[in-house]
Amino acid sequence: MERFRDGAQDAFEDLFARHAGRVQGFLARMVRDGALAEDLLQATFLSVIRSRGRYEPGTRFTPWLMTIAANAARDALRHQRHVDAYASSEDGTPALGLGPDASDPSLRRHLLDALHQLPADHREAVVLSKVEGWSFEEIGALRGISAGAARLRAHRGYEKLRELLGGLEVAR
Amino acid sequence: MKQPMDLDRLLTEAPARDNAAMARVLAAAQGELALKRPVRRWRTQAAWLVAASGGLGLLAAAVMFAVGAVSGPLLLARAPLLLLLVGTSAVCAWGALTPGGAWLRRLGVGLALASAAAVVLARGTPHTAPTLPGWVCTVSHLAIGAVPLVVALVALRSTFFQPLRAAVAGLSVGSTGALLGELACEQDGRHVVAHHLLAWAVITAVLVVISKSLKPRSYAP
Repeated sequence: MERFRDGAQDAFEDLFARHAGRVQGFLARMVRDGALAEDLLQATFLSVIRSRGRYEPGTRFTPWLMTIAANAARDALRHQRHVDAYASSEDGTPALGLGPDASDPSLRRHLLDALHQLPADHREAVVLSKVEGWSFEEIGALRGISAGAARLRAHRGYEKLRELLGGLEVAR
Repeated sequence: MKQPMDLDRLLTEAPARDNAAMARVLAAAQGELALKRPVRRWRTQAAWLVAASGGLGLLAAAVMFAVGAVSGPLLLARAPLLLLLVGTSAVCAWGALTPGGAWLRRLGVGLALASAAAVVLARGTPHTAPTLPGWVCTVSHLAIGAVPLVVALVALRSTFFQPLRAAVAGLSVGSTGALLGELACEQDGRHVVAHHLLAWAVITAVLVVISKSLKPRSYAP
């Protein structure tokens, strides 16, 4: 990243090749909708290009990148909530489109459905702590809350996930 | 045989990669790179905002001194307050644009509150009746903040919107008018609250509202 920040444009492709899969996985868990996840992946890497002057040399690149992805997802989810609220107030029924898809029986699909039923803050805390391996201090710093509050979000989200997926079993 | 599912394993299982989506995103990123936009370092942007807010206030003071609108003894008497305002402006500008530094933003808010209290409490009873209506001070305060406001808005577009970040940028912008008010206005503390602090609050609120309403150009911290 430091090479890219200092003007080596070819370094961007190395960064993309190394990190895009991880960001895509994070966004797929956060927003579920494939087209939206692609838009957010694009917004994330465009932000890396446009704001490379904000990267501090000597700091870890991955948390900086994932912070950008988390901010993009948060913004999109906030916008989505407004759209959903408007749609449901227009026709009197809850908005559809991101709900569970019962036709797909795979565990992964159930997990994504369950993740999407969590409040966005809880989902973010679960994914960052359990999948990305962030500490609660890092999650707290990202959202301007205490480490204890971040731990509580992750714990509540995880327990809710357990509850939602409690009936599922895996074949052996 | 069936067993309860391992939630941790399921969570950490990598989802399928969408290579077509990745290729499209890489192409869009290469298009952005081809524009060859200059790299904007956050320290440079912060320095510009410090210069546009505190620097502009100091420049106004120098011009007023040069044309005789303010006397040397008055400038010296107000020097501690002017330094406090310039310091507040610099801390707020730096805090608004630093990638981390939540503590600096909180310090900026604290300094702005202390400065606001100081400019009110430092005013005594005026010896002369006002020659201009009070709103002239409000309008002057807002007008001198126009240039730093634009600088702050441009700089904030390279970062993800955060209300506190935008608010401290607004406090930095508003301190320029407060500094000018210390030199050009001799009314009492009530006038300062009603016309100068109000303008400072308005300019801060305007910056937060405009910054929030602009389409984000970047989600970087």
